[in-house]
Amino acid sequence: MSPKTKRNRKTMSTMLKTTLALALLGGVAVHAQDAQTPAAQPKPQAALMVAKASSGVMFDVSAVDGGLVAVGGYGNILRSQDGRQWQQVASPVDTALTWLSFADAREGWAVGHDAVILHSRDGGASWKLQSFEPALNAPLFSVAVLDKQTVVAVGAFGTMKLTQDGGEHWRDADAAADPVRSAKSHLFAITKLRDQRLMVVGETGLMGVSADGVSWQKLDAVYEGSLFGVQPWGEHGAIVYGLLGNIFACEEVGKAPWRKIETQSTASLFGGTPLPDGSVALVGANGTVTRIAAEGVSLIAGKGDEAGRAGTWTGATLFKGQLLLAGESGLQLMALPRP
Amino acid sequence: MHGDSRGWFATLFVKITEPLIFSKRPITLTVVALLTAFFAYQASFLKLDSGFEKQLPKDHPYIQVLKKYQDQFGGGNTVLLAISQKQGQGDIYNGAFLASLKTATEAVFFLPGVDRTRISSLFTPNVRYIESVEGGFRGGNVIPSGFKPEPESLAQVKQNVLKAKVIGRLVSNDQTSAMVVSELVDQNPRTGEKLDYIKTAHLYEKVRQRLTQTELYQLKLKADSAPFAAGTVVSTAYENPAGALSFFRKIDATLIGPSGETIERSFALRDLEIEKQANPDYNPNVEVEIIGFAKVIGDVADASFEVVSFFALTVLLVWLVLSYYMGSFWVSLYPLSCGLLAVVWELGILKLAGYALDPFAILVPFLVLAISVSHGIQITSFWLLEVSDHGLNSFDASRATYRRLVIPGITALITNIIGFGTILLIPIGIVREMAINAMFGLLAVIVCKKILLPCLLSYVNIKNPQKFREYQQRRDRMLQPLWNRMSGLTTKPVALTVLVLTAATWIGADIVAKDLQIGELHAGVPALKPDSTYNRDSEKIASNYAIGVDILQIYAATKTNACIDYDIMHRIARFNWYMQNVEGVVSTTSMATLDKVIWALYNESNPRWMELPRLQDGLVLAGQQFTTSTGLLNDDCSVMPTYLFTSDHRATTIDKIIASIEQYKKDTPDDDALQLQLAGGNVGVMAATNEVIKHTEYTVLGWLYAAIALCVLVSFRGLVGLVCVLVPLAAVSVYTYAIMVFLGIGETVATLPVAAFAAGIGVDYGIYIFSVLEENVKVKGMPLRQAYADTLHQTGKAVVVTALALSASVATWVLSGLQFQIDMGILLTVMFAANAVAALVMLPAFSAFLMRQKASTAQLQEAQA
Repeated sequence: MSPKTKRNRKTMSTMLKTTLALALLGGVAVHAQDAQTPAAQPKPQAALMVAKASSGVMFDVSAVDGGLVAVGGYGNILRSQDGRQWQQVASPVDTALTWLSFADAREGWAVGHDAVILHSRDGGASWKLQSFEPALNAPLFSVAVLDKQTVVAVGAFGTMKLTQDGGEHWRDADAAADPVRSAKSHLFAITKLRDQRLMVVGETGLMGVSADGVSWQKLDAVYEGSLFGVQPWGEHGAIVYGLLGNIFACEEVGKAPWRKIETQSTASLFGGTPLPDGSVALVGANGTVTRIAAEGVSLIAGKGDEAGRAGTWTGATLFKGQLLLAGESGLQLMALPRP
Repeated sequence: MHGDSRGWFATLFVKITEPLIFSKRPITLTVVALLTAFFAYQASFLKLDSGFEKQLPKDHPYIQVLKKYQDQFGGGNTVLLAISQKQGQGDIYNGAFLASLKTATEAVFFLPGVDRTRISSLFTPNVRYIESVEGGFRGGNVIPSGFKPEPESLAQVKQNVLKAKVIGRLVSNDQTSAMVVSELVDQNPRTGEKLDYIKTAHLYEKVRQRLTQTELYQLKLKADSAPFAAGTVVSTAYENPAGALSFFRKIDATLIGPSGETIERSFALRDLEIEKQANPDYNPNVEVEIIGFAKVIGDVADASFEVVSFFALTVLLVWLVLSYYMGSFWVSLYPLSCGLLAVVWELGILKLAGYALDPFAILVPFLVLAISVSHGIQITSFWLLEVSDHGLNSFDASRATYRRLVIPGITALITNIIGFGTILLIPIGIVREMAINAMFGLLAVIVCKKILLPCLLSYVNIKNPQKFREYQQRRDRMLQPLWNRMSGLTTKPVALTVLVLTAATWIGADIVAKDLQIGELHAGVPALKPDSTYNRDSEKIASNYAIGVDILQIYAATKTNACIDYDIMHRIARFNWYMQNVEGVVSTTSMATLDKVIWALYNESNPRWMELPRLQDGLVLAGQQFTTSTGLLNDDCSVMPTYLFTSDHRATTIDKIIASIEQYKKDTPDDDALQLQLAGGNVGVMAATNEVIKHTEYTVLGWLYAAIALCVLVSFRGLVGLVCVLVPLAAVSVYTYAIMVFLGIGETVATLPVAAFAAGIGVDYGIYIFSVLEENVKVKGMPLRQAYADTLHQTGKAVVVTALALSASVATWVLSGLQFQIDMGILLTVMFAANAVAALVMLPAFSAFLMRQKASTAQLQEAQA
């Protein structure tokens, strides 16, 4: 109780001049307060500020304004200038944050479990909660920024949240009319392609594209398993990847056919990043890091004895010519061999 | 009390007891003999006991929490057997290694007491790889059926091991070692008997030998033993069972009878033929490591009963010291055998009082021998004096000895008993038992030494008293120059130097002693030596696998079925994460955090699902993976422990972790829904024990010194005696702390009572010396220097010999395989010796100032009068 209510009760008791009444009223007041506090709607709880935050599970990392921002388990948000020393910044939630997208050097969004959406205006130094809906029972897995006003977040059971005013208001897009979401399949990733279209992938090989984030076109499935991610591929194309190391590429999404890219690995792929030479780095289970180029596939990591210990990578970004990886074993810089 | 046997009570006591004992010596001896036989008979039933339970400070809240929950959680009885490729022999993916792993898995499977449903290794069907495929899961055994050690299938096994996520658990991080994990059932389901941990530990040891010994020994029946025919192999050993006492050895065997029934039978080794063969399971490239609670018990028991064999050595050493002192191997047998009788009595009384012999208690007989020998030296030396100097015959000398020494002796023993009694203030079962045991021993010493020894001595027939006397005098002459030189300590300049040095070393030692650590300082199981097989195994497994051996458990006590309540699981997970970040915590685990991992596995192993599901169904699905035997939850899921694996178990580490937990509990207070309760695991026990030691240390020492001070005051009725006796004693205590810092010995359950034992026994030196010195100065009116020289002549050699005998009787503990016995041995040896030296050197220095002053005050008063 606040000091004010305490003082009020005291004044009342002096008025009544009965100690018994004081005790009774005091008791009643306290009980009334007790009855109100619990059983309320779950409230977000700020992440613990801890000493070894970078040792925990991290899910995604982004290069922002010459530095890095990473998000992960327990609502952790970390920043670094060199990819080695990490500082934790305050986070309004303590549940897993799964994905991170920046519009520019300052403005960005992070999403996660409990349908959490966080917004930063200062390059990831501070974060404000824009959405928290535990009752939805749907984690958000990915977020993409179309322009500074239009941002789309996707998640489990076909959840898609959309803002068209830079995050002031988030709304759930109408699912029934949407061919991508009518089956309520999990949506695992959303990415902006180089031709400014948004592409989403998900369960049972689900793929969709949209020019504005509002109306979606469903693509014919080329694979029946889950697709966990999508990266831009050429000017109009995309590369999608997922369960058991399945990778498919397309030169012009919606027009050109998809072709399967063969690798020797059956490790599921969960994340990736485009590389400056037009190739794409994909990361996933057993510490797998693969580079997919037009001319072929090369495995960078995930073959040797260290595979069992690296765990699964879920996020990657290019940072000063190296790969910065995020995953079960935390954050790691990895040299990128010349193709 | 030492000096004064002339009080009315003393006179009365002697008047009554002396004729009782000496007039009918045969009866006295018969009674003592009968009692000895009775106690010996009792002692023969004394059970060996590992006594781990008793090492817990049972009143400490942590331990009460531990006791409340320990029966509800499995997982505590796990034995890990790792088979490792020797350095440079490559990884585990080769035929020979996998064959050894298979042999070990099967051998462990058939061990009695092992829960056969819960063994896991790469060869058990419960270890499978599971991978998510389109629309579901695909899985299989890590080692496919019909496995042949060919390159392709070995590569397949390697792939499966990766997929099965067993690296760190069943396969070492670098894949050069693999594990057989087994759980023991506390009660034999067939017979209902409680598991014999020591025997089980030996059986595991045999599995190790099976892979690492080049030869085996088959034990075959020499003759028919129905229903088994001659030639039946009843047992296989990997060490030659034939040895010194093999004729009496029994071999316990479990055999399968003709109709398939299990027959457990014991065979005498002499009825068996030993046949040596090459061991077909021997693999030269592997070594085996075994750890687990049962193995600790087995190894500690083996090591602690090794100490029994040192007892013979101790007796020999003490006999040599006594013989030098008495000049006769024969006469010295009297006090020695009386000391041994006291030990027999002590053990008999121990059994009668319902106690068993545990690794701590096993040290008490050594102490009893030491104390009784130290008193034996007094009695015998007085008796020698009567015989050699006063020319009395054995019988009269004995009576005179009895009259003179029974009262001071008994009061000295009572001082010791009080000293030991202060140890009872330490609320740890095993320490209290040790104190009680030692007190029993002292009672036995009173009877054996004070009654039996004089009685026996009266029968001694010294053939050549002249020669005997000459030996004594010759030795006294030899020592006289030393005593004369030492009497210089009473001159003021020397005394001042000694006092300044005392003060300086005291302060120095006190500064060093500030670094004295509470608790265990070495890695590994503290009871065992750091370089013991067990601790080396444990270190190797801990460094190669993701397995911690220092564990602190915090129990989240909540409501029934709390594991499907998101809020509670979330709170536990949050606490987990907090602790994960505390310095000294290497990793943490709990059902709440593992639920997240399982939930992700259910969702195509996609890590982004790694969070607690909000929906109850999700928690049910994730949680059903865990049985109570995982140790992660109890039957109704109302208690879920968080396991903290700590970097080590130093007190500083533990203190930091506990402080962090307290801080967390302050910021996030317990409520009706969830209480975080401390503590389980070896680190939890250590945290409780350290706290108890910290709290009782000063209480024990305070009462100890108060008790000794009281006894000294009563004896000497003055402050001079108090200072002269107590200050050297206290100085030695401080020095000992400094020595502990140098030797890296922490203040533990084992070393705390040492201070009390050493001071309780060490006070005797000061009392002997001061009582004679005071008598010389006050009654005989000698000048101090002469008085001290004479004191040394009378008691100096007894003090030296006593110190030697005491030190000799505990020094052998250093050979023990148990670290705490080694620590106690070193400290007691040092303290027994140091107390003697301190008494001989500091006491005269103090009296140089205090006693003379007193005399001068007396003169002053006379002058005034």
